[in-house]
Amino acid sequence: MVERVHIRRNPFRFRISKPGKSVDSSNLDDFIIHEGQGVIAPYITGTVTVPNEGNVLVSFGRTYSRPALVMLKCASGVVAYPYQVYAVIQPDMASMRIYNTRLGAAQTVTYYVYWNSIGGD
Amino acid sequence: MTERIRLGHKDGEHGLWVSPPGVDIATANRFLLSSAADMLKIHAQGEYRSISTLDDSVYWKHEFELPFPDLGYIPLAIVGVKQGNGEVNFPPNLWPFTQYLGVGLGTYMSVIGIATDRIKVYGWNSDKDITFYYTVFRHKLLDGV
Repeated sequence: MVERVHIRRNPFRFRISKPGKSVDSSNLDDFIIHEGQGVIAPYITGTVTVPNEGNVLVSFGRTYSRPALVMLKCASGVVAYPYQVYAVIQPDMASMRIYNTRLGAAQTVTYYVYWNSIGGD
Repeated sequence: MTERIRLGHKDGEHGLWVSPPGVDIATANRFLLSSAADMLKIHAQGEYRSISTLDDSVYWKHEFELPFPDLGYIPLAIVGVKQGNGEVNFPPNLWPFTQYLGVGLGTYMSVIGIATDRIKVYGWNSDKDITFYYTVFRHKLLDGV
């Protein structure tokens, strides 16, 4: 059985490898987490009801220097898509509006805002 | 007090788990971090300011490449665009770069291509100066060709 978790101070290591892969691998593709590469970190999540042909403002609670990485999921199964169900990050970089257009009904939307920006923090 | 970090044994597996605030590891059905599932890993990211030098009197042409260390496969990647009003759409879309020219004149279509070592952007917009943001994930979409 291979060792899959390795935490060490000197030299610093913080690694979790994929099932069946060793923490001693030199291939970064073999890791879930590796001290040499970043991962996206969930920041806030919530669920809102967006009225038909309307929008809902969601505050991030922080101001990003670059656009936040956002993902949306609709309870109805509709895939988030521009000019259907989509988010618009506002110019203040501290909030977004989730829009619902052209579908003819209110949508329940779960949003995920990550600590990471598109383009780096 | 809730247990939020566990390094050790859980549900017959050894590993590391971190639960959301207020949620105990023992009852959590989702985690901020879990060794039982893969994470979205960042391979490269950055921003690029495109200042076009070529126009057709109506639209500016933006064409550039965003190189990153070769992965040997075509990765998942996201390109975001800050529009003139300062807004950024999610999902990122090519709509601002697809320009309808009129009846019988056709449409300028934009292209974003992803290779094993670069993203290529090609499109037209009424703005000459546009900032793009990108993140490349260390996750395979296709085998490299």
